[in-house]
Amino acid sequence: MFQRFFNSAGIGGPLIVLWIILGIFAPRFFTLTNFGNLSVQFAIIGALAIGSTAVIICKEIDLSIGAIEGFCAVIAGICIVNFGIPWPVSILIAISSGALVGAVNGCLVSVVGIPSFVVTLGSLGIVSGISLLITGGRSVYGFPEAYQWIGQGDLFYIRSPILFTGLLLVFMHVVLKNTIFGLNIYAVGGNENSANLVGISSLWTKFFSFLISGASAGLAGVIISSRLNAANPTLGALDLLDAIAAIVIGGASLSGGIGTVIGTAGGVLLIVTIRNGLNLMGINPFWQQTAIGSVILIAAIFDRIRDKSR
Amino acid sequence: MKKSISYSKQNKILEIHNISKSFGNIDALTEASLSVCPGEILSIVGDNGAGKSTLIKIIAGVYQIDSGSIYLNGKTVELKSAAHALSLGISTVFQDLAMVETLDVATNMFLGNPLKKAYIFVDRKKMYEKTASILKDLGINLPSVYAPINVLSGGQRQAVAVARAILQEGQVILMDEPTAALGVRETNQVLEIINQLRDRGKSIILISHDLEVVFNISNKIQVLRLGKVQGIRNVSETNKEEIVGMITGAISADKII
Repeated sequence: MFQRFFNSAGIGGPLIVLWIILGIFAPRFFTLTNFGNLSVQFAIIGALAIGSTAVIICKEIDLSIGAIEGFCAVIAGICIVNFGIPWPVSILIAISSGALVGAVNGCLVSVVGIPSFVVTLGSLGIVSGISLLITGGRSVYGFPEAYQWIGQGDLFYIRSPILFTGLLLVFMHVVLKNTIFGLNIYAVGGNENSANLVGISSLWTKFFSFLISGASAGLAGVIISSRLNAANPTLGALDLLDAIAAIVIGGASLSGGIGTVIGTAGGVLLIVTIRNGLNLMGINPFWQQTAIGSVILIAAIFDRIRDKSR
Repeated sequence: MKKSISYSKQNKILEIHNISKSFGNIDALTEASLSVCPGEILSIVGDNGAGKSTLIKIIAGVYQIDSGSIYLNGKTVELKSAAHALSLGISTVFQDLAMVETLDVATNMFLGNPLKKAYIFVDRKKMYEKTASILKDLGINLPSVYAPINVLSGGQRQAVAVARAILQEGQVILMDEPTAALGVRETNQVLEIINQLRDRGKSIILISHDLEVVFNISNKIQVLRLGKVQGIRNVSETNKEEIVGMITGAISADKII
């Protein structure tokens, strides 16, 4: 009973309670404009969190996703604005750069064997440093209209960023649930020793998980730069916390082997609702940080309770 | 001093000849030999540090040998990894079972060797069906093939591990302490399954500390001591005193027979 409540499905309850409270205390919460904002926020944090869920299931962590988001936003900006490279090609370059950083993370974790916490803390520093260096610390702006559609447009009343994050969600869901690679992710995270004994390569599994995490963070960078029509090197620094929180709230276990991207999507919805609601109620942004931090801790405590009740 | 042991002239599935393995300065195995025939259970006994686990891990493909040779069906083979050994027909029930506790019974049965659809997809439905049918065949009762391993008892986990070895359809099945953590009733259940395997013509190599179990089930007993083969006996021609004597070294190692 206790156990079932804390499982990933348990996110629906808190979410409904939260929406009812916000409906009463923040009259502007249930408006079309606000749901538009909410969905764009969902798309950005969602791309980060959904892409990084596989890494958490592998019993690793990727702390560089926020930095990669800012880095890829800057790469897209410089390619389009400074070098005049066509925007579809620039997007490809930006997302590939994210994948490349992810691949380097993956190599250092799986081949060299450094704990992922240390590796990605290092790459967080390097990548955000490079973003500042190549922009001189200034924003890049002036994107073409077509590019702005990615973050600002809509299709049949659906905000366009949701389409991209939705595609990522479906893709990752199928990968984790139905493919051999997905099965290997759960096996490696659940018991790496056993996985290696039966011939599953934990090396490649982790490598590709980090690669996907980096590429998805690149997508988040593209969406946010298009949304703001500007690429600032410090974009994404705060999103890391929200994304990791969303994954844990969504039921992925930090002890590995457990988690779903559907759960993560629920976690993202909860986190962006909290942020959005606190904004609408005019609560001091400093308190918002405190609130999100508390939510992370509460989620981590639930994670422990879940582990113990197993 | 070189030791060799004469074997019966039956057709051997697996034959190991004078293999040695050291880890740094420690000689875990020195010129050890072994052979096993179809429908035969060979038990390997010895004190801690005698080299039993090293020997089994070599046959399982986990460790690679420094010298000596391994023959499978008369052909010399080099076992590169556990997955490679498995592909050659050597299945292993590891001491820690090599299960992923968070995954369900059926997924664990096919761990590392899942049934595939269109090359990259998992055929879950077939895995559940096949698992259910093989467990039924063996008379293993589990709550569900969908249950994660961590809700099963020690005996049930052991049964799943043994069933996996059967599913892999290996000719040779290695078992490292298959009854170590089990109660009396569960031990009997596992021994029953092992007997069934012998009746199907499998070759089984078993490590056990429990001489009761060893005498109950084996055809032959091979004693290791300090990384060397101390001797080999047919169960019908020996007794516990002799085996204990060989394990402790009170009875000296066999010379060329």
